[in-house]
Amino acid sequence: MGNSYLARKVFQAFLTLLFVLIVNFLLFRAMPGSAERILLRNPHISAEQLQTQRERWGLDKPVFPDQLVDYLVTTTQLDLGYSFQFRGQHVTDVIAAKIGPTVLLIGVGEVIAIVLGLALGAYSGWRRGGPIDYGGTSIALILYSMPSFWLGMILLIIFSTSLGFFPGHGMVTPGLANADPFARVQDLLGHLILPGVTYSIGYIGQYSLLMRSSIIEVLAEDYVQTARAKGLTEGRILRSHALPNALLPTVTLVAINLGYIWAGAITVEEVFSWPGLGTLTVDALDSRDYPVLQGIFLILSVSVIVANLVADVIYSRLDPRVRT
Amino acid sequence: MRSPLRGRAIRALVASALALSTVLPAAGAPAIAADPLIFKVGTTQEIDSLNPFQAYLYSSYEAWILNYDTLVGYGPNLEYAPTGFAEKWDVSADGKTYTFHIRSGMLWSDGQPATAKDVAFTYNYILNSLKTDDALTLFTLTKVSKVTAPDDLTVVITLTDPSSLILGAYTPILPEHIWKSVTPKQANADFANNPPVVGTGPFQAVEWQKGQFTRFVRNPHYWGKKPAIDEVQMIFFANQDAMDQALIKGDIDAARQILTTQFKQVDDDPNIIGVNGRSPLTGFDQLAYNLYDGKGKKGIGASTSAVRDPAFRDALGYAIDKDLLVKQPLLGFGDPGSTVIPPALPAWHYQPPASDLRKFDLEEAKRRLDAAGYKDSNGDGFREDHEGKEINLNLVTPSSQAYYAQSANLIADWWKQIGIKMTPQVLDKDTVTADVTPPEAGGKANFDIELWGWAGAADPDFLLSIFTTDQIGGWSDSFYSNPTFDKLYSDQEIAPTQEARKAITDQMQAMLYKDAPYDVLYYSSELQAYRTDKWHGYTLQPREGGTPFFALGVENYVNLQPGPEPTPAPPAASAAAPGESAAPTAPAPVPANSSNTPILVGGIVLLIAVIAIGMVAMRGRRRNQEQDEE
Repeated sequence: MGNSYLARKVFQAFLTLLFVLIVNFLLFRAMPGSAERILLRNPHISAEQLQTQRERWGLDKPVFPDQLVDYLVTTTQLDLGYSFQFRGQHVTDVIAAKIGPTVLLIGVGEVIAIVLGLALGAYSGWRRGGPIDYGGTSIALILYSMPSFWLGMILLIIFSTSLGFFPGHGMVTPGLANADPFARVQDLLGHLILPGVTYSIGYIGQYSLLMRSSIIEVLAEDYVQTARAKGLTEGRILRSHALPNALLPTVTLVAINLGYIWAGAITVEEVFSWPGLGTLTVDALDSRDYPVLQGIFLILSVSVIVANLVADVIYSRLDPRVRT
Repeated sequence: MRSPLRGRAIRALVASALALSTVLPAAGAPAIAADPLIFKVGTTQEIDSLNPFQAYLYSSYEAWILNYDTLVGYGPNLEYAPTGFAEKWDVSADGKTYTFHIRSGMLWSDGQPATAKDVAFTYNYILNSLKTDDALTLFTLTKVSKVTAPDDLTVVITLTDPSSLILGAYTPILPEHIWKSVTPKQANADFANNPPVVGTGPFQAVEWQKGQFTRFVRNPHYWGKKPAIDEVQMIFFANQDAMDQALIKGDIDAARQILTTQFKQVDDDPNIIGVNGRSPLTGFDQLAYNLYDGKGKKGIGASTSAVRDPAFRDALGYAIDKDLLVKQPLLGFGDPGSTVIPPALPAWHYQPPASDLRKFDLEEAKRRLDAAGYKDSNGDGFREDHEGKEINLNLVTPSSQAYYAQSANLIADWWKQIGIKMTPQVLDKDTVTADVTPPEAGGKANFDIELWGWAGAADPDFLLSIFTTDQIGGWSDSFYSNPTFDKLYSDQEIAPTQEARKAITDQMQAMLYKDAPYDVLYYSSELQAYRTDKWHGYTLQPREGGTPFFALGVENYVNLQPGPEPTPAPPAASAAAPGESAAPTAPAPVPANSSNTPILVGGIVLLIAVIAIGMVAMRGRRRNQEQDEE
């Protein structure tokens, strides 16, 4: 098959990653505002104290090549350094604490979006012109075009403030650390619903529209006519012929979107105070916490590149025309 | 024919309905069996550290004043009060020796005795670090030369000069048995002072989930009145809108920094009181003029010598309408500015006499500019400076507050009318900080005016120190250097009485107003709000126009009682309404916020209309398609 295809793709991915790493490193160093001034926040310190801290953080060496080489070497060893803002803590620890909530939120959001979006889109395309098609497509368009933070605030006001169904902030109710697991899971789910729905709504629109147009295109193909002529049931045609072909572009889109899981839905997290990578990124930007920012962008780059690679491989598996 | 998708869809719906049903009832029911009385305060500013030496933010100060006591406390009107370690204190005749009498029987939250030795330890810990590379400079102990604890109940502080500033030292007293093994280097850097925190304050931090909340549990060994609150939770919100909604919903009991645009809605709620407070910690916002004299070196200092001319600055002050600035960018939440010690510190604020105040008068501004020799010689509508160069003032302001940019634009407009060109530049905080850094600290001070603000403190010393020559390269961002002022600054530090000190600080404020290195624009309000249905007994600090929380003490945390304010039973109505008075302690959830409903209804109607139109439009198109295909 495409062992060479696979090898080529992996090699390209690796090169892209290296390039991205270097660009990330340089971009952060180019931002105005010196790291130590913000960190030390206290102009009373003497010049000697300032110098000691600079050495401690490695900021006294020249950017090219010392800091860059340093960065590349330690990154490959998965030593991402120490956070400036959370003194003394490893970057990996700081980020690890926030990965869970983000993956939970986005994972759940994506699953809902995929299931509902694909179902809605497939049905709309299959029964084009039916009431679900009209209603579904209009709603999908509206939802797709709404800014997520605005939608989040609206949902917050309606379902949390006015109706009181769900809490509007945070991931857990403080003080439940000692309660029984069932209560804690319930609490977590209660907090997860509004941000999860907010996150998934935009994607439901996106997936359903794409799936719908895919199905419509596929249904016009000759092989579907042939299948009907052969006497296959509609269900069989849909399952074995239409859906697999219609899924191709959608699978690509889904795989690419999943690559962005690590970016954390910053706006959704900010609206609902969800303690994930999104809020961590904003805080780290504010305090010029270079090591944490580089760690986050490293993870993001790796995941996007890997997701694209996976999308390529899946596509090549699904579509034999692509394998050469 | 049945679509296979339908079956799947139905199964999915049923599954999600089941999942939802397990969640919905949980949202309302209390999950903890024992039901401690919890007080929740919301903030959009996460605490930065539980270690007081690394705590720079308001919320962190609130956190440590819950955990720890200071030596001397601040009373209801910001006067020195015996609410800290010290019950009373005396001063020697020469004013150089203060003797503090520590209350007996105090215990740390872990049960160890808390004595004068801990006070001496804390102060010496700070003083000794100042001589090393790891100076602990966050808390200043002015003029202190020696601190001793001759016995468990006495602390003797010896000063280099008679100065009352030591009474106002807002420094937490730390337990020696915990901190003696922490080096100043660690205190400044790696030591996080993780929960459970050991202190003498009414509540101790037991859990801190970064980015989410901090929990403080009542200190069983607290020396003061036993609080009714069992647990304080400081809940962090990533945005102010969500926090205000949580307050309205009742998820939190109080909040700090309500959005100006939402204050009215919050205050109108029958169960919430909004506080438009003047906190001493709020400080002021100003135009800081760049007085740095680059002595002709290129790229250093202001773009024109005019900025260094007091007559020029004085004239510009007449072209700023501070009342309008308060009304528009601040939406009315503030007071017009005058001197650098805000009126929120009534014991220290100096109000210049009306005849000295610069009123908004564009004609007067033009007259003064003409008189100072700034004329428009080439007739292009903008004045030139004494060197003949056209004046084009560069104003930098951070993007952290929307009202900074709005104020800058209004000011640019007024100045244009008097012939002065000014270009505001909104930058991020760190760029502004870098721009105003002088060569003494590695920068270029390459700006003309900086629009920013200062937080305040209970003692005026810090805000006055910014204008001393010593602080150039430190906190000074206008680089004012006046030997008379510097002398007055040292004098006020060692003034024997508060009256004598006030006489000096008044002089200093008047001098700064006249010379105008800063033009103080306004004192913005500190907007807080609290619910009245779950707790009562709130007080403000200071009593007149202050704030309930994030001030200089723990009053409300200690004094609040559960339930709404009990309504006194009307004496004459004996046969009237039975079973009134006693308020329920478990409050029912507040019903739908009435002011939101019409908007929501309108929104939903609009949404349905849009969908209907969409459907009709698509149907029309499809019919055309069908006709085309036939």
